[in-house]
Amino acid sequence: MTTFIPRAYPIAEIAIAVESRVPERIQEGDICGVRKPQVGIGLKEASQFLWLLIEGLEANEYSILNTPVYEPFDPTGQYNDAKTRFDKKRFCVPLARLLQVAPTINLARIRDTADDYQPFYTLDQDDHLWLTDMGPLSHEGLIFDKVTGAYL
Amino acid sequence: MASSRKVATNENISTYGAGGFGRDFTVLSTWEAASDLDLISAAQSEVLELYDDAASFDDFVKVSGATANSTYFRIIRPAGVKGQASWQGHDGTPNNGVYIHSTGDDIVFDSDEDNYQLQDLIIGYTRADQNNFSLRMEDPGTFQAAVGVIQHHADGGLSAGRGMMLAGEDNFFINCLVQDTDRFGYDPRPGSGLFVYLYNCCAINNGQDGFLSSNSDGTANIVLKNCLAYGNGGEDFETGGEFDETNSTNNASEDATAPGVNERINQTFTFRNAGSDDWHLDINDAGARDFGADLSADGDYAFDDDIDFRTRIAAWTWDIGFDEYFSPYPIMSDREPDALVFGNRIVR
Repeated sequence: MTTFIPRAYPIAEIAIAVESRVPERIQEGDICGVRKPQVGIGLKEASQFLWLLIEGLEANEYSILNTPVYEPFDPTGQYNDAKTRFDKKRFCVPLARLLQVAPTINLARIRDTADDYQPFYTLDQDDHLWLTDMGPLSHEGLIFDKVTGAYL
Repeated sequence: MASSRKVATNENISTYGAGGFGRDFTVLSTWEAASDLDLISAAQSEVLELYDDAASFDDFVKVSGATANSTYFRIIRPAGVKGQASWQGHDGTPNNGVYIHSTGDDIVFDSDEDNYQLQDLIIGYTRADQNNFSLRMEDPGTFQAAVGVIQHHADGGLSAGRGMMLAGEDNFFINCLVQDTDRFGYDPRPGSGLFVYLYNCCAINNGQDGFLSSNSDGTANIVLKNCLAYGNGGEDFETGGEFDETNSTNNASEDATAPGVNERINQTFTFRNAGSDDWHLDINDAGARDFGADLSADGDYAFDDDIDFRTRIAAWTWDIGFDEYFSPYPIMSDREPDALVFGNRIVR
């Protein structure tokens, strides 16, 4: 008999960039997509992004993971004045840190943008549906905030 | 002829939809990140075509950072060809077509990138504090345009805060509709000394004002042409003093607030089926039909089609609002032998 344990927090699926471009464009590890868990991914999303399940944040906090950094910061979110762009994405999952959490992942394959390698899922190669997943990882100590210079 | 929907040069088209349908992307922002490139150096444009795989998609995106110009730029639009079975976009109403409905805290479609185009989607959001926007185009991006975009909130209640915000410089809303927000429809906020343009847009049944004019820099730098406002809880066109009364023209309102020259105030509009959110003009309309200005040679954004891709013919006088009235069925006239009538227009 299994015991049902209610989750205190919802789970989100995040997409992480696996390559870096010039400054102010995406960098390796940047969180580029956040969504409620779905049944699969797109054909071009398999090789260009690494997908993870994350837990531990409140529901309304997840979308913030996909925001840019602005200077000066406007707490209203209405940036009508001149701003200096600081970074395309505020939050990231450094792959070196991810390797510490999940030592079996292959960083070379993750960084290969021609490889559909998704170590945290089993991916149907025909229609890119998820078959199984490895379960969610805690956001704590994994997601890095470029503004505060610290992990969440 | 110049369509309001711009086509880019050397388009690299990716697809978007639900997982399991064989699309390229299932999240708008992953496409945005993947296509954030120096498009000019690459001599390539990036286009995302959306498929109507689900009743709605809970998603949002900020398009920002790609190096673009008027030749090479980014576009988000429905897949398919209007008028054919392949078409995934709307039918000029919020009832059919690709619907992006965000439940997150971010603006659904946000952008600050030169020449970016958002075309023919239905958009909305659910947020309890009512302080979000469905769409925002802002500086430093210029010549951005939302064309044929419909914002609608079918669920009412908590969902429907604010409409579309147009900021920055030389950005455009063309043939758009905002209806049923709890607050206002359009919020134009051009920068100091800069201009933004709303052409043939409709604001219908919003809780407060249809078109705001008080959030800019205090100067008259919001240009409205052929815009229609109806059924709004506040003023149809806010009397805030920032509409460009000289260059705005042929706007129509149910109340006495339509700005510019050739304005049509205190009008009664007749729509095809308002009860089903079909705001196309009816043949019996006498408030907006045949009262518009011809913008086919407009100096800032020349175009000659409506929300349904139908060509607005100058000889027939443009209609005000997103729709150019056109009978769906050609009929033989019983008034003049040997004449073919489209709607009330006679073609010999």
